[in-house]
Amino acid sequence: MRLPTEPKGRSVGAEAPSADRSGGDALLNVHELDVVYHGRGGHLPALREMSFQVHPGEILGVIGESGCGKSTLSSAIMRLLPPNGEITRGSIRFGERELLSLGPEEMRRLRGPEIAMIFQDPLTSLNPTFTIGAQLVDAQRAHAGRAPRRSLRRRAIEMLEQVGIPDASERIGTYPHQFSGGMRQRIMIAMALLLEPKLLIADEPTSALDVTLEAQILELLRRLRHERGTAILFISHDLGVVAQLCDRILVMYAGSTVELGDVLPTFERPLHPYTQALIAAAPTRGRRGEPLATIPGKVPSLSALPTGCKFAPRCAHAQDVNLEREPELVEFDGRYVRCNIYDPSSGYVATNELQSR
Amino acid sequence: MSTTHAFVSVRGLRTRFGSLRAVDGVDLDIARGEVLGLVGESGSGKTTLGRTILGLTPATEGTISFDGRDMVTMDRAARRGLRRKMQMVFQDPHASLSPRLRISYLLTEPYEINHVADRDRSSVGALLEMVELPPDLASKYPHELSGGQARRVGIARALALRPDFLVFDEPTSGLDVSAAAAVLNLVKDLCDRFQLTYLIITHNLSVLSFVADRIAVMYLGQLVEVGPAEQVLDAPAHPYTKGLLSAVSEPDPRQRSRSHRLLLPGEIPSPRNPPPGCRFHTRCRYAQERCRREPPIVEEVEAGQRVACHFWDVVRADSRDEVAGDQGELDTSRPLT
Amino acid sequence: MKIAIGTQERPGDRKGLGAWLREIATRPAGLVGAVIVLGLLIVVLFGPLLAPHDSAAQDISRRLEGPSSDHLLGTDVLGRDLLSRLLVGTRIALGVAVPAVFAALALGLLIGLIAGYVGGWLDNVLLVLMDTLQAFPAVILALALLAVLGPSLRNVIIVIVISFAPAYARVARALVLTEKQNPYVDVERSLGASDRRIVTIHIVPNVIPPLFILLAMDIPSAIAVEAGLSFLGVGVQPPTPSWGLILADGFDRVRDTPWPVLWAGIALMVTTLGFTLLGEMLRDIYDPRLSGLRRLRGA
Repeated sequence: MRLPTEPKGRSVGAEAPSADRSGGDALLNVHELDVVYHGRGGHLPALREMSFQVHPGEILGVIGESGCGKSTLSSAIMRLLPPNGEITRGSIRFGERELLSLGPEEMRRLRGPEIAMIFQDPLTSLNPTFTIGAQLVDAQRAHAGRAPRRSLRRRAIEMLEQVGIPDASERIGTYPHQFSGGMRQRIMIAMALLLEPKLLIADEPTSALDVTLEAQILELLRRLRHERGTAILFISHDLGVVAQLCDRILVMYAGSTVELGDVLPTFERPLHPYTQALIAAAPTRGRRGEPLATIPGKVPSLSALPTGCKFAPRCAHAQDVNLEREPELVEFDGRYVRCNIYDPSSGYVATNELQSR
Repeated sequence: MSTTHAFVSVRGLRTRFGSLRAVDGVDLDIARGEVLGLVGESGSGKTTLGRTILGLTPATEGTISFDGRDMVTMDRAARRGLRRKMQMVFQDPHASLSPRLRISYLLTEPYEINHVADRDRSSVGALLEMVELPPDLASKYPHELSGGQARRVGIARALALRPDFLVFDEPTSGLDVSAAAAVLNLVKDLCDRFQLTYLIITHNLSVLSFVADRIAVMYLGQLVEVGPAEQVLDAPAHPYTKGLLSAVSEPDPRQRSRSHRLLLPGEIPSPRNPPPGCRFHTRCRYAQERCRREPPIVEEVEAGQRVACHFWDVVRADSRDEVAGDQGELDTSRPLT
Repeated sequence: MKIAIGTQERPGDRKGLGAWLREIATRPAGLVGAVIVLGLLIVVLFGPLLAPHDSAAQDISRRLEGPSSDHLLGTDVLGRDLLSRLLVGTRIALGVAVPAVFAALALGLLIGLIAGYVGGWLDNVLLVLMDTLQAFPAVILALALLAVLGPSLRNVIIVIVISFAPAYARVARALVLTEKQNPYVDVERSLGASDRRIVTIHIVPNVIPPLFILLAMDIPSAIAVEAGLSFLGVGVQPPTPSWGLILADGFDRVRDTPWPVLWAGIALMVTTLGFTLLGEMLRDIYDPRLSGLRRLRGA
């Protein structure tokens, strides 16, 4: 068992995502990642210049609506893109290693003991024809070499107890469909953490659950992070969940990072107009009865991305410069934002309402 | 509760599927023009309750009255006519639309089926406009629509026959943040515009905090708390309501320490085998010996708020203290730059 | 609670003609199948016109010859032109198989609809009936029925319908049961739609396309059944030039001249291949495959 480490995510001033840094403390360093999907008509840019870091023991939330590329991101990091997906540019560093230069066998050895993943639908992620005990032991066997079966089984039972499965030693011989949805999700977390990975990628793990079960899973993840120091990359479309769980937040739009920073300042003073719009659209008890702000227009289709800033067609503050110039990710107020408003070199003209800076 | 008869009135309602008691003794009134939120976890019976009220699922026992008229004793023709005035918008937006038919057909079909005279029909364009959809959507097929658009078409279909009562089953499920916000705004707007009565079924209280006038909380086939929205949300008298509230992930990072309290443990038991006494006692932090033996009776907390709990006064006092202890919440209404 | 995946196409959604042509164009195997089937159709329509000789005209002096200038494929045991016989035989083959399989689909669809939608005891009865029919090996069933009905082209069709229908009934029933669960059925009911309307306008259009794919794959089977029965002598009777009969006649004399067996065999093979390729292509187009572009919208 690993000693608890201090979670590192509360740093003020996120690290620069530029290539100049050697990676330093970061556990995961994604730098200017591009991913395209090849289709019959051509290729679609699913991720564009994605850059961010995850530090040991930190929980980074990735928030975005459908079509923003969140699932592609997790697949790309795990190097599990479908056959028509391709990483065309950029780097993914995990610790000291560059994942993109690893062969399939080396990558396979990484998955499990170093990086693990949990998904939205536990029913289809667990094999229905094997008992959960068999699957938990099997997951270890692939990496544990010649350890005796009994000890692997014992570890599996311990893990199940850790995630809150009652009567774990009896239930280890049962099948996934005999558990409820919330339980299955816990089993999947147990399976993911069994090999004590340094990084857990959670792709919408609570979206299919009721709020009560969701709250329990979030609490479980918090506890596991605290006890084991596991870093978590938490992907979601739910602002509330990210606000409650994460140390830092990354906002995605049209395949790219539009805002990245510590969670509290991001919610208190969101920089990017998209972030502001998302926060304004989320119902919260503090604003009961007022109409919810909505974002006009639709998320752009990846096959027809506008030139310039991808959010400009829907942005209340858009000026002509935004339709021509795609903003760079710049540092501002200790955070990162991809928006011409905050980039002095962009040619954006600050208006009165923006003078509060 | 008003003395004039409520618009929709349910007494002693039970719906059983074999040994599964999905709805097990519900008394409920919905006033005309009111938005009633029905909340509970999956397995609480809330969807079955909605379906039973509308007649989609047959009730095993009890009465359902619509505008003072008993649905069961009514003759078939009258009942059928009345049923047109009550419609449901289902949870899965795409599965609710017949996949091989165009939207224009789907929007005229309700009139075809019911032989509605031309002058009483709303045009396809008018219906689409009512739900804020562009008119060119009419020639499309359901699968070409986004989740939000499909949901709005479902609403438009439900509105075509000019119903008085609409039931929404998880109106924001499967929708992104902005699409969900847009649907909620629309739903509220339509309610005001056409003086509709709503029953909104959901497992997420934050949806209801925006749109509901009254809230009913359901657990294992029974109502455990009913009351005006502010009262139920600010000072709940039932531990389950408190649990549901604390489980909601608010988009405000400063409320983290608050939500760590009172997490609802475990899962909802199977409706085939509800716990004895108070059904909630297995997950309740206020539970005492009495709760295991004796089911609670419904008591009135204050005007309009009723609860079924032996210790509701303790629960409510705790809720009051918690609200008082809260610091100012994050004001996200101001646009920031 | 599902996540909205934007506009994701579902299986078998209405595609425009342009989309269909595009799909076909990218599948060379299916294209070959389509071309073969098209060719067969032309032969069916214009067979007798294309035939150089009258398929029944005998010329004993020229019997059992190999290919020659006026008998491109040779002659059979009675001196009849093989090419002409095969061309007319195409009419028999398809003329029996295609209507028979369509009829089987129609009958199976009807039974499956009733069983699936009405349910209850009627469903049980029909299921037992279908199971019993399917339990018989097809050949035994066919022979037994023909023994009762007497061998003829019409009866071969009846036999095919009876032996193929249960498969369609089961598939149709399963599809109806699935569709019945869909929320849109409840929506239609609460709008006041009658059962008849729900079945005809909403359910049947969703049930038919998978059945059509079965049909495309069943046509070669039906052709084989007809040929087999005729080969055994209990199907089409001479002098009607069924391929099976051509095979049967040629079999006795295969040592002297292999040509009848060869050409009839090739005809059967090519036809089976054509329909099978076509059927598989239809199935692929219809299936919910996650091709690159569709998957992307789930990102």
